[in-house]
Parts: sequence; C-alpha cells; structure tokens
Amino acid sequence: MSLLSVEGVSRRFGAVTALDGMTLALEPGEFFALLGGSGSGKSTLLRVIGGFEAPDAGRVTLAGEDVTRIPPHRRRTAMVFQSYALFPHLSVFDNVAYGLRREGTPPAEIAKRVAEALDLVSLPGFSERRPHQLSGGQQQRVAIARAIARRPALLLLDEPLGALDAGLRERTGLELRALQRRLGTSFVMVTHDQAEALALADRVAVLEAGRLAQVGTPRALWDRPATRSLARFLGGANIIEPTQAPLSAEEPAPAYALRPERIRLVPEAPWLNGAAATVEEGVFRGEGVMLTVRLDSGARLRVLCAGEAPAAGSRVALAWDAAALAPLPA
Amino acid sequence: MSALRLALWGWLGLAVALPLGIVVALSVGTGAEGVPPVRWPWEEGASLDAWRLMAEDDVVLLALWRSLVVAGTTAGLCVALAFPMALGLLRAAPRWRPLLLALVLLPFLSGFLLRVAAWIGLLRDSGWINALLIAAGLIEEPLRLLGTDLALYLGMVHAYLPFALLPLLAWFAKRDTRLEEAAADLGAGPFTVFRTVTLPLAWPAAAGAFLLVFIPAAGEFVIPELLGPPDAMLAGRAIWSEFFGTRDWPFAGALATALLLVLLIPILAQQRSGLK
Repeated sequence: MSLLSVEGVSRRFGAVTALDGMTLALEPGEFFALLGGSGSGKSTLLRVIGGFEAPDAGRVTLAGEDVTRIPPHRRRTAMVFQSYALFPHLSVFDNVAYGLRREGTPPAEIAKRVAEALDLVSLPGFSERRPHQLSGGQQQRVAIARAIARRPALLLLDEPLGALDAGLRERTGLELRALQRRLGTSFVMVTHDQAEALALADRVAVLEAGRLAQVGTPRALWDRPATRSLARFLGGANIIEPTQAPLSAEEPAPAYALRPERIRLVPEAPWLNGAAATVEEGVFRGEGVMLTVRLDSGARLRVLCAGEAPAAGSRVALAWDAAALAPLPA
Repeated sequence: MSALRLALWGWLGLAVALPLGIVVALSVGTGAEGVPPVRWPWEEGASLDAWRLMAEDDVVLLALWRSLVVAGTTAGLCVALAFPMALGLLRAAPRWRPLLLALVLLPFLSGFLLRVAAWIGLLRDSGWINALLIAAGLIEEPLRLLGTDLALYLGMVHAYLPFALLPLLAWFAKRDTRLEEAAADLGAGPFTVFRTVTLPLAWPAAAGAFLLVFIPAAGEFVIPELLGPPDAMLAGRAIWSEFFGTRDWPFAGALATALLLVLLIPILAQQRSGLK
C-alpha cells in the first residue's frame, strides 16, 4: 500500500489553476522530489499534502486514511518551511520540543527526544540559543530537528536548500539524504533545481502548469524524457529528427533526444549516427566547452566538447551511439 | 536630509520643548495678582512652594492616581477589544476589509464633542436607552447611566479604540503567518497557536498600543467631565480648575509636570524592553 496517494487533486486561485487533476503515489521510505519551475504547482501540492491548502477537487490519502479535510495539526506530516519559520521567541530547545509538548509527552521524554533530534542534525549544545543567534545553515538544521522530533510519517521539505550559500548546498543535500536513509521516513522535497532533484531523490515528479509531466527515477528521467519540453528542461538535450541527419536508433520514433555530452568529435563522420557540421560558437562551461554547431541539413545541435575546442567557423565531424538516441513523441 | 533634520528639530523645539519649558517654569514661579497671574522664576526667583503644596494635597494626589487607573483600564479594554478586531479584519474577505476598516475609523471623522453629545443623548435619564427599556417594560424608573463609571469607560473606549487598533492591525498585517502554520503543523490547535505563537509575538505591538491609549487618556478632560461620575476628580479636571478656576498657575504647572513625569515611566520601560 502506498504511504501517500494524491488522486485527481485540483486547486484554483481565482483565475489561476495551480493544480490540475494531479495524481501521485508515494512508497514508504522514499525520497521523493517535486521538480518544476515557478507556477508549476509544486509548492501548492506540498501545501495540499501538509493540509495548508484544501483542494477544490480530489483526494489525499495518508497511510490508508483519507486526510483531504483533516487540518494540519491532526495530520502525521511535518513541514520544513523554506523560510524555516522558527519561533523567534523560543530557544532552540523549545522550538524542537514544541510538537512534543502538544502531544503531552512527559518532560524527561521531551528532553531525551530533543537531544536525539539535535544530534541527528549534528547540532548538539545549541539548546539555549535563540534562532536569531544561529547562521542560516544552523537554522535549517533546527527546522529539520523540529519536524522530525515528532517522528512524522512523512516529512515535507519546501526548497530545503534554496536559502543556503552555493558552497553549503551540495553538502547539506547529501546530509539530508543520509538523514533520510537513517530515519527511513519518507521525504517529499520541492525544488526548482534539477541537479538537486536528480542527485538526491529516489524518484522525481516533474510538474508543468499544475500537471504531472513525468515521474520516475532520476536515471529514467534523464535517459528517457517523456516529452520534448522535458528533454529540453532536463539537462538541455538536443531534439533531432530523422530528416536532419541519418539516424539509426534502437526503436523507431518521429524524434529523439540527444544529450550534448553524448556527441563526440571524430576525424570523419560515419554514414549513420553522424554528421558534418560547422561550429557557430563555443561557451566555456568549466567541465568543457559547449559548442553550438550547424549541421549541413540546417539543424543546430549543442555539443559538449571536453578536450581542445575547435574555433568558430571550423568544420567538424560528429558521431553518436544508437543507444544515445532517446525516442520522443511527435 | 539636513533640511529635514532642521525641520524636525524646529518642530520639536517649538511644539514640544517650548511649551514644556513654559509649564515647568510656571511650576517654580510664584502666584501673583494680574495677567498672567504669576511671577516668572527669573523675575522673583524660583520657588518650590507649588510642588510642596501639591505633595501635601491628598485630593490632587488622589486625582492623579485615579487618572492613571482610568487610563490604564481604558487602555487595557481598548487593547483587549482591538486584538480580536484586528485579527477579524484581516481574516475577513478582502472585498469587505475596506468597509470594515472604514466603520472602525468612522467615529474619528465625526467631531469629538459630537460623539460625546451623542453618548449623553443615549445615556441620560430621559435618553434613548432608558426610553427603550421602559417601553419594553423591563424597568419602570430610568436607570442612572450618565455620570457613572460605565458611561465614562464607554466614552473613553469609543474615543481611543482606533489608537489601539491601528498599531495592532499594522503588526498583524505584516506578521509572518508561516509561524502560525508551523505551529499548526506541529500539532497545535487554533487556540494553542494563538496562545503560544500569535500572542507572545504580538506582545510588543500590544504594549505599544496600550501606551498610545494610556498616555492621552491619562490627561483626558472632556470625557470624564461630561460622562463620568461628577464627584470623582481626575488630573485633567484638577489642572483645568487650577488654571481657570482658582488661577493658581504655579500649582497647575506643577500638577501638569507631575502627570508628565508619571507618564514618562511606562514610556521609558517600553523603550528599554524594545532595545533588548
């Protein structure tokens, strides 16, 4: 049985449709990412799951119980807010203990569980501080500790890495994933950062305009994007059609996604799965130079060149493997 | 910037420091026949007679004390009423909000004396409320409403409520509602959210609202005079009668200065707590 199921959930704000018949299921112990741009409905979906927004239509089920009309304080979900929403008038200890006090946990047990939660987020010895005395990264840890102290069935994270410095993001992301593995609790993370979603989540749901565009493992999303727009959104894949170059793929399709890093520069273009092209421009990307090339058929491709990059205007020969062509619908 | 600063200091000097200086100077002057009925301290030397007289005058000290009680009660009632009103206003549908706010502020737009006169019309023995109660057969003799503490506080709260409501409304409008959501998310029901998060965080705003009512209410003269019990003297009336009745200006100046000093205490207390 799914831990969480969202069935046909719609939510409108005036003339804006934030969620349009959203259907999703989440397994126990999963790290799940909701990926999408602004206006995709990802945050609204998270707020519907947490009980902060009531859907106009549809059903939300948590561990077999219909919670669609259950208010947040009676749901076994816990939210880590993007702004952390720590209580400024309470110490770190009292912030983390807040949920336990509401359950009527005895004081000795509260002290033990708060210490445990602060330990889990590597923040022992901070109990007496006030939130404003902590750095952004420390505040986030307190927010996570506060949410997990009640041992929720499902942890909801709204852009958990969004407010952190670039240097902290990757490490914090990995810590978050390690924490999820240790607790075994299901996490649902909202993010607009595809690298973050693909790196951390077991499964990723891509949302577009309030609808589910695709859901799957990061590998499946990367290798087999379901639509042309998803192929472009995830890693900026090229869209190539059989009229533009001689293609030989593993299965026939009207178009294929071809990732820039899977195209090689070769001395001579092969008859199939290759083409001669002219370099239009190159942009340094750190891990290589992203070339924009123009095939003789007129089509433009992006090619990631790891070695010495050819100058603009020079002629190059390209080749790719049949396995690199991911079939797309028309 | 410097022009603005000049204007600000000019305003403070002319509208605050100068009148204040005059009142303080009066309090250490000596009474005399003539117009004005006082000898300034720089004419005949400073004298603390008025202060000494005041310290021994139980009636005046009682008036001062009663003023603080009336102001404190009024401010407490206003804040207690303004809290639910501010929250209710913000929870109302957006299209009703301007209308509700206008209804709250409407009394401000009508003349102050007009409002007091309206209360007199409602509350006096032959007023609307008594007429209504007699017509309904609930009472036979008119109730004494005008000239009681009830009438006093009705008038005071009615006049001063906006001073408490507006700062609370401003605070509630800009508060971070995520904090209340976080509390609900952690298992707190609506009342617990209010008690543990909304109320403690609104405390400084409530203290500010309290002071905004308390300070002018302590010196209020017209409402207690027209609506309140006639026998109970307040500081406002004491100052008035010393100035215009007995024409003892040094005494009146000392009384006004004393009232101001008493009011400085809660202001300083609030500033100190605000600095922390």
